[in-house]
Amino acid sequence: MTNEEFDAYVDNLQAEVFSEAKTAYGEKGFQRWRNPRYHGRMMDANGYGTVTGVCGDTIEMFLKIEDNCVCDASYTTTGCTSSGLCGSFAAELAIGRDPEALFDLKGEDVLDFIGTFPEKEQHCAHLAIATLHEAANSFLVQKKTNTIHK
Amino acid sequence: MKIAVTAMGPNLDAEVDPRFGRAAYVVIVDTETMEFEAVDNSKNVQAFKGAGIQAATMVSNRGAAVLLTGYCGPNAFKTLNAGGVKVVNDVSGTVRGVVEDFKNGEVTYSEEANVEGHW
Repeated sequence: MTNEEFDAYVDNLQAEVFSEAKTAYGEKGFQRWRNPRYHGRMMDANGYGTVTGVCGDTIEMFLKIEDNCVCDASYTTTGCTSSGLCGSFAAELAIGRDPEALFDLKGEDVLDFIGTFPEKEQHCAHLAIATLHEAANSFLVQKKTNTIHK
Repeated sequence: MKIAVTAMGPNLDAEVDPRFGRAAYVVIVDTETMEFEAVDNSKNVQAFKGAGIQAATMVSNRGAAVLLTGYCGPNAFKTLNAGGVKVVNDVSGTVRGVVEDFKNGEVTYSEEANVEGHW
């Protein structure tokens, strides 16, 4: 196989993966997959959680909370597309909410928000929300501790 | 001959990283001289599906004739096959150790991917 033929083969395979991704995650999930938002560690976060799911994937969630409102959120993951998408959409769902209201969010809310998601990957949404709860909990515990010590 | 080994670290004493597309490093070793080059694969670690294809393209473009790794998915396997790179799956130990095993003929080439593709 020449270099040109090899490049064409790889491009074709990648195009197949894109097509499969659109089927698996819908247009909304596909676009987020191509342009992941809310991804990366946040240095000035005041809420942080990390949870490893039974599948072995770990998600980290970072929250920046001011005036009792989540003003920014981000995630990282060791996992693949599904964990990444759920982390990204969970972060987006968190922004603008009261930290205590984050505990009302469930994995199903993330799945509804994405719209289309592979059935056997749905545990990733629950993992993302569990991590979000952990991050919210860390903020609230710290806030309570600070209040006691004042 | 150049062979590629997925690794947890950037040298011959690093443990083999069982993952291919999301391996921390890919160490390309010249089996004659044991000179090596460690390619940082961290960008791929956070990549979404397609990490295997990207890593396989890199291994092929670097001129490696063989890849030693733990698990290799179907798209990576197809890409490696198209690029003329033979695959040895299920290896473990240090990079140096598996390269020695390879030189002693103590490896078996894989006929197919040994994990399912997954998102």
